[in-house]
Amino acid sequence: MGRYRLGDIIRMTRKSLSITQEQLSEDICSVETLSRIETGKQNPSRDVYELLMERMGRIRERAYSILSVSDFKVLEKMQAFEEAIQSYDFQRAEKILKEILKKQGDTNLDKQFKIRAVSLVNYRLGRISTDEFLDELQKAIRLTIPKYGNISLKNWPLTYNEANIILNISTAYAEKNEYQKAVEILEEAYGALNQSYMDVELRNTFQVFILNNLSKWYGLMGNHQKAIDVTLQGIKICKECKIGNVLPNLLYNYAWNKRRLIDEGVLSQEYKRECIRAIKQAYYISCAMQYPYGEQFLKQHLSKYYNINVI
Amino acid sequence: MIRDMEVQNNNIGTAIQYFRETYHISQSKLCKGICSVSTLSRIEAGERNVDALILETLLERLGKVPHQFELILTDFDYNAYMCREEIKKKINQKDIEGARKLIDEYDKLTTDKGTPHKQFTMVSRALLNELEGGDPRTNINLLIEAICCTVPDFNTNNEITDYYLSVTELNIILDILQKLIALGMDDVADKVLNQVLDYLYRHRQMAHIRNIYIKVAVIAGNFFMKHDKIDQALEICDNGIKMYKGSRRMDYIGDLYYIKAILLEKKFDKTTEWEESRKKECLKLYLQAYCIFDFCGESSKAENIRNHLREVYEWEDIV
Repeated sequence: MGRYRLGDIIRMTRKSLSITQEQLSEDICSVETLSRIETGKQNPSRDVYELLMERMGRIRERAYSILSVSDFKVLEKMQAFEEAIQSYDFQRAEKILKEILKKQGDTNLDKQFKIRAVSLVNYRLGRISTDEFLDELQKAIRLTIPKYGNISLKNWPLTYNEANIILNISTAYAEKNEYQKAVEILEEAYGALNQSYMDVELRNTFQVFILNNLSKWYGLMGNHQKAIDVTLQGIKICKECKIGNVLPNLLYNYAWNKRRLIDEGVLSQEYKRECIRAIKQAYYISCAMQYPYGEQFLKQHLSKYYNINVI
Repeated sequence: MIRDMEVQNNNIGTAIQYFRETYHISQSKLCKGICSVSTLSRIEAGERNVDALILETLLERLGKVPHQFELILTDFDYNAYMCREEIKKKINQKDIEGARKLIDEYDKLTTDKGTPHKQFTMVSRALLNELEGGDPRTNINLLIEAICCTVPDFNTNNEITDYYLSVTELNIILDILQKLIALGMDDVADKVLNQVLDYLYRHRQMAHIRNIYIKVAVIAGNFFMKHDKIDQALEICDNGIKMYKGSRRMDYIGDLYYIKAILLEKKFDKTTEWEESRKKECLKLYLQAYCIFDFCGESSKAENIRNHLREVYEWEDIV
């Protein structure tokens, strides 16, 4: 289902045979080229593709031409599903999901998407418990990473679907107040994203999203300095890539953790100005991005904790 | 699992046909300027021996990102692709001679291979001309030649209504537009701008139009403002802001709020309608624009707003 591509197929085949990029590419192309093909930065020539697949013992003609449109009829609906989830509109998500499932195929990747999507909707609509949700997610991830939980994912090139599942697993742990576990999973996923095959913009968005969650969990664990470092890392990516959707949250988390350190006496009162600045920025950027909920929340926050009224 | 995927393997032609029919686009409109209807029919029927750049352009005209659809390239396609990447790199590095040599090679390599290749060559030559500090009019002519490769009617009377344009094609047209405005050729610019606005309005339901629209709104807002068409400018800003909702990115949105604030000021300042609430609305727009500019490192724009707010609004408490 979804976003497996040529690079994924070569990479996953290679991983399933436990051979390295060096071994596979020898005398066919350079390691750099293979790496670029696997991460989707370059399309392979037909010769190179055939030689690679042949070395791995695969039938080469079958995958000729185009590989990622097997599901093109549901591709757009899947994007709509993710958007509905991200805007907390779970009823709409469920409606879209029903349409997707009507047209869906029966591969492992289809199943993986289905298990995650169905359990996510059910969980968010209060039909299953956090533990049941976690069980389903782990079932889903083990379809493509059978040893999940026993191996490190730090260098595992995650697919879009896998990355989504892992984020959900982390969130589920955090909602059980197991922040340490939630943080560990995200730290690992963050490393894995650098290896993954996703277009750059999507990857950046994922990374910012992870950093935002990390800063939340670190903050709730009382590790405010670490939380601040993480928000700064996220803010930097937002700045470089001009991503605005998670930015108000990051700025707020930054200020929230600074404020905790001030209240604990670790930082002097002078730092309050920085907090105010960050929250004001968050407020105006929320307005600019047209997030009425964030706008309202930040306005009240400024008035309640800093006695400041914004326009 | 790998086997599963291979069995499900689809042909790119099926995808093109599927999207084309979903959006109710006729074959002749989709391929106009790129290939013949019979070629498109062959592509949709599964013919594989088709130039990769032509496939990409067709997909792009349907609003799809070509890299969503991975291709295995023939030797020719592969070499052409590598050459295009190399040319882009040389231009980025400002290696004028290196780029020129490669562009000439690419031109030779792709003769008779289709209009999208020619278009790429012409766009690269325009970029090269700009790098060399060449005559801006030559630059415009090169870009017009580039767009005419796949949109031949652009030459006659800037007629784009009959086409479904890719983001690449639209961006070439916007480049021309911006250069015309910069040269003060406002009469021609006005014509092109209206064509573009009309085109975007009629294709507004297609997802990729949204991103382009915001860019156009900034260009059009500034242009209309320059010609004192305040209401027209305001309308397009508002449309742009509406279209922006739900976007993740911050490009152009700062400019859009900035222009809207200036426009509101121009319209209402020194009239009886310049009320406290209106003033507040303006101030808020300025502050939104300021925060975006400030954050994205566009410091001169941020500085302008800062000064303006100090002078006109006596606003010291900037974020």
